[in-house]
Amino acid sequence: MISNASTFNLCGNRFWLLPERAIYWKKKETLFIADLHIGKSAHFRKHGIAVPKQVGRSNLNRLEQLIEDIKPEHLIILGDLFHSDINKEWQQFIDWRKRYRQLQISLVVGNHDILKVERYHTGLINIFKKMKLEPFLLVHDKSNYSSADEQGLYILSGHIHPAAKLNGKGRQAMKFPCFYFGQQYGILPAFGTFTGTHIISPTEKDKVFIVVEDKVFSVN
Amino acid sequence: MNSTEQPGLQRIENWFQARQWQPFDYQREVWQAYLSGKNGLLNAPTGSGKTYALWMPVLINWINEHPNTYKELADNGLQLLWVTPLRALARDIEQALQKVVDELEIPWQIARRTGDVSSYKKQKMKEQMPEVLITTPESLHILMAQKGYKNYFSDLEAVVIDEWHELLGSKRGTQTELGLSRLKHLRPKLNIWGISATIGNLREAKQVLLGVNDDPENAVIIKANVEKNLEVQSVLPEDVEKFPWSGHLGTKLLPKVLPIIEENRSTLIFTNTRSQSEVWFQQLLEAKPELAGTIALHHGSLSKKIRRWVEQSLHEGKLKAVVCTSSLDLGVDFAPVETVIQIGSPKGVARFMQRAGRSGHQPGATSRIYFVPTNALELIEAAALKTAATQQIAIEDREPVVKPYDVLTQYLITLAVSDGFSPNTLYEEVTSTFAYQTLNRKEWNWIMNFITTGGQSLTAYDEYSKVVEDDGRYKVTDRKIKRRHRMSIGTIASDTMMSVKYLNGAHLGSIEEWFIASLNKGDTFWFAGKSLELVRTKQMTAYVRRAHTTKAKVPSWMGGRMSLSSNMSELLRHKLHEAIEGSADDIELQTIQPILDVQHNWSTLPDEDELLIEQTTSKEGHHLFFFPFEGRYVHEGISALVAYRISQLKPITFSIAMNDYGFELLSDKKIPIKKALTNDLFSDKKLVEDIFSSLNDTELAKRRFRGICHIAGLIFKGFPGQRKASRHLQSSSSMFFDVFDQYEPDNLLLQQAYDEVLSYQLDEVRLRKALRRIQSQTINLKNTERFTPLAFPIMVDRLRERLSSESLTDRVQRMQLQLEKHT
Repeated sequence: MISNASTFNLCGNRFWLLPERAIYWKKKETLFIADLHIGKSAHFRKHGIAVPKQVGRSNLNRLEQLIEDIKPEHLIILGDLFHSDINKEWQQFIDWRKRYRQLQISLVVGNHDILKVERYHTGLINIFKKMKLEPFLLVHDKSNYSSADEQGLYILSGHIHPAAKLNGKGRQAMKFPCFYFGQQYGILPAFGTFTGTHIISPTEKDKVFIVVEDKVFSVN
Repeated sequence: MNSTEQPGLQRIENWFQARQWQPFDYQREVWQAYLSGKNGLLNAPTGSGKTYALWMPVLINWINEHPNTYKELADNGLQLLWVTPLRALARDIEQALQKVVDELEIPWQIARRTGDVSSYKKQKMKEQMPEVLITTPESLHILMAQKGYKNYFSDLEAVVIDEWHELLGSKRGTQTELGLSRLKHLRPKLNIWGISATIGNLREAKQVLLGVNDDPENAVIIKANVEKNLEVQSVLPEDVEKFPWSGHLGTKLLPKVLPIIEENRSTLIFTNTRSQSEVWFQQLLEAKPELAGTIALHHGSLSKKIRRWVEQSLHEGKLKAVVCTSSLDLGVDFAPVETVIQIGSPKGVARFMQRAGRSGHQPGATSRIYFVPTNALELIEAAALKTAATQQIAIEDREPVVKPYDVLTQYLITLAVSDGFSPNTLYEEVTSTFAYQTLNRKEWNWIMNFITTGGQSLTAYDEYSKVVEDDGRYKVTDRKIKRRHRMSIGTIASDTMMSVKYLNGAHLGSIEEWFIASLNKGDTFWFAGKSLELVRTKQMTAYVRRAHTTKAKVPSWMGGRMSLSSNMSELLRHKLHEAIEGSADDIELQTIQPILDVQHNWSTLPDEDELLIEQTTSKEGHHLFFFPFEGRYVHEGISALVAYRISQLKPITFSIAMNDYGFELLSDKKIPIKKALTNDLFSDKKLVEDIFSSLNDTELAKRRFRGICHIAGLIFKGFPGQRKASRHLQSSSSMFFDVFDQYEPDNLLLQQAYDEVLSYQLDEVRLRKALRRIQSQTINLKNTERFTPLAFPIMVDRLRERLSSESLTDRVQRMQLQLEKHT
């Protein structure tokens, strides 16, 4: 069941923008997420920095809930699936992954994804440097690519953990994680908790959707 | 004291005589107390010979005990530890102490160990400790993080904490307390002395220094009654009607400051922020180019080489003027300084007096200080300061920090990094300090659990590692964690700094990374008194070259938003009353009269028995201004409280700004003030409850948490020059705040953030007192057509707090996306 989503037509395809900070492409039964940073809390704890360990568990729980709700065939992760070098949260993730064998999982490698290739393979995860899924090109960091060099494919990416700033009368201002769609590329908000955000400066031509609690709003 | 039985005393008396000096009575008093084994606090201002007061008895004692051999070279081990709050002072103290031993032919080694000293020197020091070590509280803790550190202190006789008043009110003071508790344990007969300028709570200062187990019989307070005359003069604007109502630079009065610099041999110009000092330096040169070479700039971000050069030139009387910040508040005397100029409100009497004291150092000489207001309202402050300074009243207290969990957490890890500790003994030691006397077992256990298990029970998937138990002793074994901890010892949370260098490698100083990040290649900015062009950045260095333009950005350093002390606030309210009554003959009040008239005509001038509230609207929305004149900190509390109470009457969102005179509530909706006023708006009932509720809706605690995160070691800024290696450990305090808030709401460090807001920012006692005062006042609600002289400076303030009782969804729907700025 999909609730509180916004729909958005991108290059003639209907996308569901979910408040869980994910995109569902119903026609292809494909779910996109970016920047999970699994293992981050464990990495910190391993190095003596006491992040509550429930953080890692909550990322997985949220992912599981989403998969149960949407029941996609294919989960595509736009980079930074795992935060660091190996720690026990990877095993926790793989244990979870093997309970959903029927789900296809693909990872477009991000700058944080530094594990050995075999680990992804034994975890039944397909890995790609970039992934073509017409009319889209899926990458982690869009700054290394341009639509013109990629046969005009629209680029979908993650990496920067975008947030948008809103201003109101009476000198009010707030920021929220957001989905960003420009002329040639789009950026997904980070799925993981305990990840920071980066405020983007959209122009009038761009489309921005913010995530406020459990809703997605179009703001322009 | 019989000098014939004391060869040491005889030697020192002779030394004084040879210089045709006479020790002051208070110096002799300190010597006597020290030699009879007493601890104590010496209350003496800068430039009164306080260094000799405590250096001499150490030498007297040494000569007394080694009358025949004291001139012989020997490995005596560390005898005296001299702790100073400022690295810049360490070198001056070193020179002063060295001079005496040289002349007495005592072959002692005197050395510094501060962040400014090379690691080679530090390494050599480890092999053989000098007889005297001059250090900062942070460096003392870094010493305690070394393996086998106890050996360093095995001969230690005495510790002197210099400028104790500077440390007392901060977590650096707590750090000093902890360091002392360790040293006392290692050397039970240690002589401990503090030196403090005059503050309101000297007795308490002594107790904090010596800890709770100290026998009061065994400790003294000695006051140096060194007479000093003080002359305060305000620099007044010619035409006050054209003088700005707000602002904090004050360069408008620069033409009137120039003649003061010219007339005096040497002048210190104190500004409140580093950016202000850069601006003043630049504009002085612009106004009078021939000053080039004879004026200099001094602030904490400049390289030590530059700072040292400025200090040295001051000593030698080569400089006509130095523009500085609090970086020159303290220190050994700059003898040639004749005059001091204070730009903008010093916010407190004690600081003003301290700065004034930097001139006319010879005892009996007159200290002269000029006050330069930066906006019209500061003229009232000027009048108040003058009264306070000349009547010697209202010196503020420095409140010691109580039970900061973050500092204790850091300290425990420090000891775990070096030789490890056993919890039971250490608990006794820690609770013997003033700061942790009320620390209970439950809190202690929480911190122990936090550093050993990361605050939670370990489970299969968890690999938390930091402090581990090894045969009853708690240690850090991981080399990386050890190294990281040693790098982050300290309690001053600062932004990540980038060093600024010329292309040839010459080092100018350091600037916050975010400022450099805001520049593009080719942009120019003012730093170290020069206009510089950014050429490139490489890792943590910004390479620059001289630019030939005066149009350059000035880094606006954070901070510098101190609050008026409560004593100053009271004086200020009284001055305003005198102005209304016409009973004062202060020239400052006469000068500001036209502005006060405008305030009176547009609204009213609030007397001591009334609270003025101004209500007005603009295209930004509905504004309410309250003027309790209680200082910024109290206004932070009252404004949050008032905003919270009004927000309970209807769903509404506020943007809140404040200064030392009042605060503003701004909303896009009409504010039900009349209803609120009939509803006990200023009642002190349910004060704590309401403040707590308001805290949840503001960012105050979140901001406090930033410092706590750094001190407790949750945030690591990286090793110098190799930031990448630690990139996967980057995070921000607000991320920590959110996850603790969600998963570990009873985390003591999180609690501490709230406690700190309550005790420092929303000081409950002061808040309650202020509310009671307001309750006895008549409330005067005025509708004004425009922003009055009192309201305007608050209205233009960009730094704002927020509080809302509306749902996010409702708020978002009235807001607009911030788009890219078209430049």
